[in-house]
Amino acid sequence: MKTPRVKLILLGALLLISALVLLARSYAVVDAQGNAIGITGADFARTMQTVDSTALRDSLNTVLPRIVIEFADKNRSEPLRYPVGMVGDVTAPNVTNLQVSVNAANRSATITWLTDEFAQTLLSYGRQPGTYDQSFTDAHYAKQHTALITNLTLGNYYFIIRSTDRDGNQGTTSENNFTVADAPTPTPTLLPGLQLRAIQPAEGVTSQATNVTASGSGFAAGISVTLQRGTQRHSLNAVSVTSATQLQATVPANLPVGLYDLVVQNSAGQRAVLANAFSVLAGAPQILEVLPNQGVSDLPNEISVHGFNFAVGAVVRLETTLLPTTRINGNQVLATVPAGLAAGKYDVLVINPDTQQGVLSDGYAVYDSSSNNDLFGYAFELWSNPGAPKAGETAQIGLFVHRQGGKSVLTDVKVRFLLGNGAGSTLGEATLPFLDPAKGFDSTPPLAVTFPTTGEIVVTAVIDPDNAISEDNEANNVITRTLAIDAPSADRTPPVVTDIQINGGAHQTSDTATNIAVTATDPTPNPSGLKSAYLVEYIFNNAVNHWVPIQQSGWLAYDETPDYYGWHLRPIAGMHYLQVRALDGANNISVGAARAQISYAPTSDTLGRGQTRIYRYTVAAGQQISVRVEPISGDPDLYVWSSNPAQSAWVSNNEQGNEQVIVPANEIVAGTYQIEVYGYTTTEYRLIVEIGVPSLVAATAHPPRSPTAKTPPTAPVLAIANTPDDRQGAPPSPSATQTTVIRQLFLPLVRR
Amino acid sequence: MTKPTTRIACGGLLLLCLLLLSFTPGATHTHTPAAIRLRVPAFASVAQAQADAPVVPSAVAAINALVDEAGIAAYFNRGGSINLGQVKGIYRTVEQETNQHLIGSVQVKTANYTYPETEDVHLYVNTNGWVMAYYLNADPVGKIFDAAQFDGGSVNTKLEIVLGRAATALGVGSGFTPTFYDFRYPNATHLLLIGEKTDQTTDSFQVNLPATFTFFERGWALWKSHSILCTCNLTLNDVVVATVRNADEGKYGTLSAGQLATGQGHTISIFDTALSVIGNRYTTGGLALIYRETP
Repeated sequence: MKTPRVKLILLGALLLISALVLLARSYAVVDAQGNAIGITGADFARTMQTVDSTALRDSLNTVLPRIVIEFADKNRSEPLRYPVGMVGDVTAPNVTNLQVSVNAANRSATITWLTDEFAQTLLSYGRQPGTYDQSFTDAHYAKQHTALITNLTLGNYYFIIRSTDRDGNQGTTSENNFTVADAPTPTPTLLPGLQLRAIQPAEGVTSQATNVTASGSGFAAGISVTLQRGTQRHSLNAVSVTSATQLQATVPANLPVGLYDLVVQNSAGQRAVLANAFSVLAGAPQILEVLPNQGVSDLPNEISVHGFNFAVGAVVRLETTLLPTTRINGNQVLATVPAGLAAGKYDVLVINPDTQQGVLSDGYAVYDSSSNNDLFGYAFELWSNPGAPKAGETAQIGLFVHRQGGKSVLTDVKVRFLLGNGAGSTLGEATLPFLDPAKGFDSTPPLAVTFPTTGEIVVTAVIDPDNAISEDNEANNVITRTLAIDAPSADRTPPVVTDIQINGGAHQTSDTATNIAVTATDPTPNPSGLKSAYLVEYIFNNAVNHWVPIQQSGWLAYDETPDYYGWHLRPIAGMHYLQVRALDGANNISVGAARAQISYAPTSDTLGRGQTRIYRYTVAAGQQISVRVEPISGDPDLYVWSSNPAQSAWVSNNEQGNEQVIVPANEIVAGTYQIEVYGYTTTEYRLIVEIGVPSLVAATAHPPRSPTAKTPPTAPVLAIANTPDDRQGAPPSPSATQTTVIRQLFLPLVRR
Repeated sequence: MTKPTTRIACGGLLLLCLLLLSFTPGATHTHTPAAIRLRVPAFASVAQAQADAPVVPSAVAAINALVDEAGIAAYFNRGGSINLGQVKGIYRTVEQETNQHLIGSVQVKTANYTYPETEDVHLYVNTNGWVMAYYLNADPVGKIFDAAQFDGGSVNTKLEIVLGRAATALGVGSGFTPTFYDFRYPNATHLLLIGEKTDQTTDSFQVNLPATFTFFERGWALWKSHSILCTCNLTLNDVVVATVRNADEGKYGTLSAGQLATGQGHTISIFDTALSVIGNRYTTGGLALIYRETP
């Protein structure tokens, strides 16, 4: 090909010659009708045939953008196609380094992650766990991915990422979430504008009015403040909003003794609830219940004592043994029974500073670790399905039976169910086929029953009614519970609790003050509408090896979806489960596994020798978990278990110094990780847990291991899948008139 | 015999990685991004986990390694099984040989011209019928241009020459259709080669890249086949990009997005100051573009 310069010269010469030829001609110019148009004095004239410009434009529009090449000798274009058949990759992309950055100002979130191979992106997200009705798609292949999600609204978002590689292999992450909040805070926030966080003081004596200060947010003039319990409403007087976060009010005198929820409602009708917020005291302490009410002699046991009039400074004694005591409020104190007490029954005493005291005779039993055998149960584990049976309709009832000690498996453990306090008719019997020794625990098979009439009834369960099994304690085999039998309704479908968020889904908190967001629905047909929610807080007591309902609410009003409840966890380190039941207008109570978990990790925790504290955290694929236990005194050991039962524990059981375990991202089994801190000696320790992508978690190497004679455990103290049973935590009767303001107590009726 | 610096660098890196792995405690649990990715199916990993067993790369591991190391490639499927023994003879070096596949380098050679070893193409042949010729991902795409034999007619590639050698050895002859792919650019859809030849003078072409396209690599190539003492250049908009002086010397590289910007015309010229040519030997060059037409 010649150079452009030569080409231009040739083209110019051709144009010049053409012009000269044209000038030498004469023209007869005609108009559109063929008439001649006279032109004079012109050097040159030319007419052009007009064409349909639309057709030309349409034609040109078919010309797509292209690489324009001039004067090249040759070119060649080839499509590029990935050799799927040749590569034959069958492994899905692996997602790592997932990070979320929320821009609260413009309501957007940027999500970035890496894949270990080129992959396309489909990020699906939505407002409810497991429901992803929106998506971000990028069909480009990349290893570094960024998804910008805009037009978000306040609240939680849940998302998964589907990555598809060039071979079509598709991998999906587990669900992740983020929160769009008004202000960036370290804690994800689901909170509405009006919140309640605390009340000070949290108690008063009934004989006089008590001035209180409530803290929270969204307070404004016109707000109403009440103490509520069941159907009781007591308005506070002299309400004064001192700021958006603080108000003052006066609790009137002469309120009934007991524990109340604090409820505020603004002029727009928005409400906030702080459950179990205020105690009204009067007179001497009275003990109603101790949970758990027994333990073995070789382990310290953390017990909860419930009752009335526990004054500031109240202490707990087992007869003459003073227990370390933490007062929660006027109705609950926590105490620790030390190891080493002689086996036997003990009176439990709560003693106020003014020396007034309450006594529960034989309220606690200590068993010899090596030789004992006892069967017992709790009212909160006397269950019914439905939770609120209907008159004339078949329901099921059952009881969880516990066994302390024993040497061999018991077979055919019978439980007899009676109507009334043991003197009524027999409803039937159910037989546990097997019950393991040493803290065995199981439910009877369901017993079908029909309650013919409406109203409150008492159901009594008698364990081993024929006394076929020899026990150390035969006095704790009778359990009673009150059930409300309602009339059948058109709405026969119980509501469903679909989501529970503790502090917006946080793994952990070091503050007992939390906020619980509950989402529930009342399904068709004939929905009667959601009315209330009931919360139970469980901890796991490893001395007795079962879940203990450490705190319950009453039926709290459910006004909006989600509805929010202020909740102070009981200050016991470790995992806390919140179980929620919903109630609809027809008094149907939800069933099923509606629970959420958070680990409470205070600044420090103490453990007795042989005691274990359990924490649980959820770790996603691509993340790593770093756990460090810093002893303040004594010798704590650290064991970390994944949800894969085939994996042994990650162990750090040095005899001194920090304990640390890091499970790297490439060894993570997505799901729950159970952290067990074991008191090799009596110890005070601090727990630090970091979960995140490897770059966000300090990649500290394992500390040097000192030789140790300690034998690591071969199994977790509690199976990771073990959670409070769906049937536990029997909610209070929805239609029962609450004549007392103490929370429902699961008091075993001691008789026999 | 001169080794290409890129291959030396790759070899050095590989050696370094192996040394690091050898002296890193717990290396079996350590993911080394620079190392060859092992994505072995369960049955293969069990087999490989046998203590003291010789490590035999599985077909899966080998192909994953190719995916990681390959750049521009051309491939075909023979349409039936392959006897590796038939094709082994064309390899200059065999880097890996298993019962399933061969990987090594093959000389770029035709009846009329033999490229020096710096132009050798990697060749992967699997008994399952797949044959792929490729350059490593460090090589610019312009390297594939069969510049030495370009006479202004068809634009051919060295990858096809090597595929042709393999096809001949396998008895396929010319009965294969190569497909191209660049493993570095999974979003690219097209390869465009623009060839220009000159002799005793200067020849140029102009190119205008649309702004709506995405260009992943703007490669160039320059090759001097004849032995006449002269200076041969490739220029972009009158700026010298590369110079070759020796017979059978070639250079390749890439232009930046700023140098070969979209939406404007650019002139690429090949200069050759030789006073005569020998036979059909020229100085040739051009562009090799990897791009995507849609956003």
